[in-house]
Amino acid sequence: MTRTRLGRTAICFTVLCGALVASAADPAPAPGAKWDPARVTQPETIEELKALQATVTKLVDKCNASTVAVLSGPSAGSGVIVSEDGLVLTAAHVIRSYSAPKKGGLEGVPQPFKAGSTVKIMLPDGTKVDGKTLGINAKMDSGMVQITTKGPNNGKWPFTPVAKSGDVKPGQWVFSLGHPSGPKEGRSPVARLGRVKDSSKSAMQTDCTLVGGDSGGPLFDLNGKVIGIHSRIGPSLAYNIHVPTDAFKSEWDKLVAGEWVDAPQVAKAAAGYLGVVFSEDEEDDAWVTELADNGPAAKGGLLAGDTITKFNDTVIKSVKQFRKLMEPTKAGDKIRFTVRRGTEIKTLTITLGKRD
Amino acid sequence: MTARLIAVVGALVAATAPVSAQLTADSKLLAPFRPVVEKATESTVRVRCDDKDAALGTVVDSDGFILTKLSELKGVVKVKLSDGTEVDAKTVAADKGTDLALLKIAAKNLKAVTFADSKAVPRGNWVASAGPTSDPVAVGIVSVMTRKLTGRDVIITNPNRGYLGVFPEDAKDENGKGIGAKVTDVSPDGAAKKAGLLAGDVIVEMNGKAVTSQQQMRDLLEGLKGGEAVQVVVKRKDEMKSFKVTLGSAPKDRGDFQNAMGSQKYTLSDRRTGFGEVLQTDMVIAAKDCGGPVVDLEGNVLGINIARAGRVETWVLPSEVIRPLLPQFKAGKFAPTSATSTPAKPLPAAPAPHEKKK
Repeated sequence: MTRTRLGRTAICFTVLCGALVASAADPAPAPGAKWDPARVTQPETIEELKALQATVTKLVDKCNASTVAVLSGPSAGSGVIVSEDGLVLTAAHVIRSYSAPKKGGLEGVPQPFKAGSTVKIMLPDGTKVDGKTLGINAKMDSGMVQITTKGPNNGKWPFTPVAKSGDVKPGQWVFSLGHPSGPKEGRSPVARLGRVKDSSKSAMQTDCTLVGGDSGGPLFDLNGKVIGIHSRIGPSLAYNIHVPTDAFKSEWDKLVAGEWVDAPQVAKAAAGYLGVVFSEDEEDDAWVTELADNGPAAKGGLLAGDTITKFNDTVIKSVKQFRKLMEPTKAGDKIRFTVRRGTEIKTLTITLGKRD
Repeated sequence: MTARLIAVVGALVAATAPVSAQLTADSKLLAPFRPVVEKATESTVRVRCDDKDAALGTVVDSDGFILTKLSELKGVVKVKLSDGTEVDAKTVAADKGTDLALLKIAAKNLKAVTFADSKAVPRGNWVASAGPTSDPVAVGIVSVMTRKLTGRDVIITNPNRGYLGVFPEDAKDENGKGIGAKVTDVSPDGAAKKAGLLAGDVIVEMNGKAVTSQQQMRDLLEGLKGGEAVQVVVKRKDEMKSFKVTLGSAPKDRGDFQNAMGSQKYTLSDRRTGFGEVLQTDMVIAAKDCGGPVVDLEGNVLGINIARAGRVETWVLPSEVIRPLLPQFKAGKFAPTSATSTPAKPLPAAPAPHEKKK
């Protein structure tokens, strides 16, 4: 787990003060009555259980066709088609690449996001079609993919519309679909029922249980609309976090345009250019995840995996600090970098270049 | 072959996890399910092994036949009836394939379930697990309709198997007779290396049992868990040396880690793969509550909980699988081979099952 992800989780989730007050005064509904999608209380009779069941079975069936698996490189997550031209909502971490986890670790380091990367979209019947990544917001964990082949119905894709997640109240009944543990042959998208526990602009919590592979999959309200995208879990079974659809809506055009909305800030154009990419986490050690081809760093002997520990005589403790030191530099400056490479310490003097 | 990595929900360590009940633990929600499970509850018993709750059981014949989860049975098996009395049970059938065991107790006039079809029950349908009391032990919905499992799900694995951390091959004498398991290499951080075993050692004995082949060594390990200590005798050159090795645990991947999140109370079943056909639900149930009947809102028994399989899933062995097996179980076709507590009394005679051609 990266520190960024930890940071992200600190945003919300104060303990909710449950408002699940039984409404004993409500008259029992007539048999065959419909479940009110806005209701925030429990079913109290078999008739009410049946009404809720009738709604859920109908909607699971209806929303199935739009629930997909997103296969990106070696990883498999989920997604949902939200427009007839094949726009897919998913989680940012489903469509990013990660370095292999260190020995004994469970998660690798996120690599710089690239829009336009090829992914495969697996439909509920197992058919795979092509797609390409659009934009992400890594901190929010929102991501978009465009299916690049024509849909089955006169070129159109089956889809489920997106609702305003801001209207969702704690206690409301919801269900989720997705591909827990990745898609499995012969298994349909997997349905789970639950209730909204808490909802804010940046995250929604439900007791619809999730696990790896569900990421990117849809959370639906009982109007049959998408209100969230599965993102992450905590130790408790009631701690399942979804990206609210409003978080997508507030930067919809940027995501569609393929922007990495929260991409780490690049140094000011006037500053000297080194040609390295660091870990996404600005507080992390200044270790190099990638080098620009034939950039000053590559020419000067820096390697991916090196950790820059000194800038001339200043000790470097974070990516942020490194960027600060780079700001006043200009092309042609010679900087003495001290780097840690495995167990070795090396000193490299590199002439900064000019940003293209 | 490399296994496909799973894009994972970033697991977070919640410093202050909100206090909020999951469906299963929500007593208010369980109340309207009481009449739903009422009839099935009368057919549900508690199965205890060595005086500990091990599983639930489903009465399938008024003359004292009870189905339960085979892999949870060990030691002295007893059945606790609804009036609180505990009676001895003997295992009359043990089917490793479905992980079902048929128990027989000396009782008459029990209330047996009638198994109803599960195949047409759609996703989103409520399901409830009957328990020994009037509240269901779990409620949830059908997550995936009854289906044939595929891939790794059909293979029986023991996730808690002990790991020795050696690469063995058969060791033979000059006549080609097996004399042990030769260690060709040891894992760098493995249990064997830590205990002092070396490449070249020939394992000839484990926990007092002779080892004459690498397969035999593997079989012995299969019955042991990570963390358990095992006494290993090896032949090193012409010397015999004895080592106490504390077995390691199976390497855990991200999926294992996440599936175990939330299993403090609702532990996963040790045997949770290797079934042919299941109905998948999102019920949250503890491993020791498997073996009982699962009903829909009409009270129809759709099958028996067979495994807490992961964070998001509990698997039900469907009626369609159970019904044709029952007469065979009663006829002794799946009699346990090495039952420790099987009394000498003959089984009650049962008619031979009508074999159907597939």
